[in-house]
This record gives sequence, C-alpha cells and structure tokens, in this order.
Amino acid sequence: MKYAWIENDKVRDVCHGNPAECYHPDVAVFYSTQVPDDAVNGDGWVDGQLVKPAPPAPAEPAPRMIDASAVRLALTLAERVKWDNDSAPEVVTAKAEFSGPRTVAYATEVLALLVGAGVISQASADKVLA
Amino acid sequence: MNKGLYGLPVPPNAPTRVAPPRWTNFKVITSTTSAETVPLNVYQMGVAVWGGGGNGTTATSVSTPVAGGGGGGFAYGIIDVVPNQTLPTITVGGQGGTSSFGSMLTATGGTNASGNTPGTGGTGTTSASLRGAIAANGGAGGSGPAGIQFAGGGGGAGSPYGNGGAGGSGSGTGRGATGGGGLNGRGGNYLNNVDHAATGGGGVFNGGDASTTNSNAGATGGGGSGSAGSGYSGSSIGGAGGSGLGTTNQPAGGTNGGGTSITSGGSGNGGYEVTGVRILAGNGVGSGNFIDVVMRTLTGGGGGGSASQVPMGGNGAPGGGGGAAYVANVGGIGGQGGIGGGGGGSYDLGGYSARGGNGGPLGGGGGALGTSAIPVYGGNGGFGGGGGSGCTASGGTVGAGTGGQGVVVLFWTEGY
Repeated sequence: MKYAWIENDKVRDVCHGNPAECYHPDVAVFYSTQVPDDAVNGDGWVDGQLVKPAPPAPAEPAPRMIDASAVRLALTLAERVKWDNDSAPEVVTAKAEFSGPRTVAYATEVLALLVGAGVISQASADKVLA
Repeated sequence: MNKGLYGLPVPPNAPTRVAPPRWTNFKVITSTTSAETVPLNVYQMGVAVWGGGGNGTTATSVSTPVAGGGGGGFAYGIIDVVPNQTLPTITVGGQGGTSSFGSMLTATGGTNASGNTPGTGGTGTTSASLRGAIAANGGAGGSGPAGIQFAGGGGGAGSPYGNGGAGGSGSGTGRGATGGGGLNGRGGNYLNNVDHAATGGGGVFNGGDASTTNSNAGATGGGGSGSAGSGYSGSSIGGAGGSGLGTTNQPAGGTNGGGTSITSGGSGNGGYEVTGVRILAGNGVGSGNFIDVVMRTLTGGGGGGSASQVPMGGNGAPGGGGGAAYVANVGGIGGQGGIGGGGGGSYDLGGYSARGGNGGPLGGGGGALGTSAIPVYGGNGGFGGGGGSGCTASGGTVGAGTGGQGVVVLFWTEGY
C-alpha cells in the first residue's frame, strides 16, 4: 500500500515512500489516504475504492490530404499537358491552391473549378478523390 | 561540538557564512534518488525544487473553449553541507506530481484542466531554517470565453522571478489560441472580437496581447526577459518578440535577434508575407541556464509571431517565450519557449494542421486551434510547465499538451 493525495474524488499524487520523510510537513498531511500499489496519478477514488479511468477511445484516422502531385497522377495524358502548360486562369489558380496538402472537401471545390472550365473531366476528378 | 543539520560537524566559518556571489555548477535531477552526495570542497548548496505541470484538455466543436493545465510550484533554499555527505532523499514528481528535497523543500504539481476550467498552479513550501528561502506558485492555465471555440495555453512554473505566468486567456468574442505562461510573464491574452488570432508565450515578461484595437487576424510575439512581446500589424506582419536585457536597438525585419550586431538579448522579429514574399519569423537571441534562473540573470528575447503564409512562430531564447503562429491554408506551429518561456499559440485557418509551441523548461505549452477537421495538438509543457489545450471545429485528430514532469536542481560553488 502507498499513500496518496486525494482531491475531488481523484488521485492527485501518489507518494512512493513515507510522506513524512519525503515532503515538508505542511504538504505531507495531504498524503493521508492509503491506496493500492497500482494506483497512479489521475485514477478515480470513489467511496474508498480505486477506479481506473476508461481507456481512451481509439484516435480517429488522420484526414486524407491531396496535393498537386496526387492530382497530376490521376489525370489523363491529355489533361496533364493542359495541367503542365496551360496558362488559363483556372489552371494557374488550381495549381496555386494545391501548392500544399489539402483536405478532400477543399480539393473537391478546386477540382470542380477545373471540370467547369473543361480542363479535366469529371471522371478524372472522381479518380483524384477516390 | 556544534552539530550541523545532519549531525555532522558544522562547516568552517559557519557563523559568518555567506552565500557565494554566484553559483558556478549545477546538476539537474530528473528521477527520485537517495544517492546524491556533496562534491568535494563544498559546504553549502542551493536547492531548487519544481513540481510537475498539469495537462491541458481537448474539444472538437466550433463553440467549445478548452483550457490549459497549471504550472508546478517552486521552492528554493540554501542548505549547509559537508563534502561527500549523502543528501536526503530527493523526490521528483511526474506529470502533476510533487517534488521534494527531504522534508525541507516541497513543491506541489499543477492540476489538470477540465473542459474550460483551467488547471491551478502548484505551491512551494520551505523550512524556516533554510537561508535564502524562496517559494512561489505555478501559474494557472488559460481559458476562453464561454460558447466560443478557444484554446488556452498552459501555466508556467514558479521561480525566483515570482509566481509562474498564467496561460493566455480570452475575453472577447473572437476565436483564438493563446500562448503558455513563462517564469513570471503570462501568455498573451486574446482581447479582441474577431476570429483568427494567436498569441505568444510568456517569458520573464508577458507574451504580446491581441488587443482590443486589433480588428483583424494575426500572430503576436513572445515575451522576453526585458519587455513584453508586441502585437501584430495584420495577418501579413507578425508581432515582434519582447526584448532581452542585451537589446540596444529595435529589431529589423525577420532577423533572429533583431539585427546583425546583436548576439545576446535580441528579440525575434515578426514574420512577413506580402504577394509571395515570405520571411520567417525571427528567433530570440540570448543565453542562460538554470543558474541564471535562480540568480535572475536570464537575458534572452522572445520569438516573433508568424505571418499568414509563414508556418512557424519564432523560438524564444532563455527567458523568452515563443512567438505565435497564425496561418491560412498551411500547417502552423507555435514557437518554442526558451528556458523559462512558454510556447506560442497556433491558429490554423482551413489548412493542414495546428500545433502549439512546446514550453521550454519551466514554461507552459501553447494552445492550438484548427477551424476544420485537421490534426491539432496543444503544446507540451517543459519541466514544471502546464500543457496547452487543443481544439478542432469539427472532429479530426486532437491531442492535449501534457504537463511537464517535475525537476530538482542542485547548485554549488567550490570553496564555499
């Protein structure tokens, strides 16, 4: 058994020795509760019983990001010629927008611009987003 | 014979004992031990004890503010010793834990934040028999206005400079992310009513505030050891860091330390971005270590704030906080604090990711805010610093900054 500082029904801190020897007397008085050896800071302490916190939910996967190289690879050869060489405002703007990784929602809007301008087909846009 | 504190003969000249004019050696203790001994030819030692920092919190909502963790408490005193003597047990607290030097010096940890309720700072307690005793509280975490997406910074640890600086807080109606607290300077506060700004971390002085006169977005500078950080001049020109004690001129655009002739104590200039011309925010310049913390001789400047297409705030030098990062459509990282400096806040508008700057040793981490489902991470606290908070507007990966563990540092000067 170890001694712990209990505050707001939680283990605030566990002492791994004799609190009277480890801490100044003004602080040692807070370490007045005996807790099981497996108690760690942050555990719950309800009605004299140790309550381990629920395991954290699995992290959501990182959102998919799309950049200029991913766009280019999904285009047909003819579309790549336009992407590489066309000076149309839509192409220039789209390349600037894809200068860094973008979210799918962001990329969808830019690809719609290119489809509307006839630079790429809807099928190619769908391929980028697939 | 007169017996010393541990039942051993008192050192020579004990009745007329004076502390050395300056400690010349130090040892950082990061885990609990009962095996530390006194170096040869040493008869007094300074002992500094810091508790661990509290964790920040997270949220994934456009209307939820989150708060930073509290900074650790601090206790310091000078003990009389004899060479080769075994020191009493040194307890080093983990995150949020209590650190102690025997029963003579104890510093409790800062508490974890809960939602938008910030963690509170730890406290320091010293025995009355110690010479030169100092005790100080850690700073509280920062928090935001109710109902508004906001990420508060973590609190800084206490020190001889005084109570630790609080993490920056918000009081307007705009969304924002604030810097962590430093030694005595708080993270910049967010006072205005527009969205999209981040504030710098505190150092010895405060991080720059996003003031009520700002009507636009931007990033402020970190606090320095000689003055507070500056506010921004719009999203394309970040705020300069606070000056260090060696600064003799005003910083010039984007350079580390504010100019080519400044090698100590210069502030970092703000980042700059206009029509494709992008200049990184400058780092603070200066020097210092734990001896300078207890002697209060830190000289470093704060880091500059970023501009809208410049992804990083400048790092703080010792005694300086990191600059903030406000970015649009690129990933943003707040600047790291130097020793005793808080990390800068990070605000990312529709881009890739946002990461609050980590606090330097004894500094709190910066808060981080993303306006879309991007990865967001609050900055971690350094030794004794509270963790920053993190929030996204709508899901995505989000992580809170963790509070730093506690630490104990021993100081001595041979011959004293």
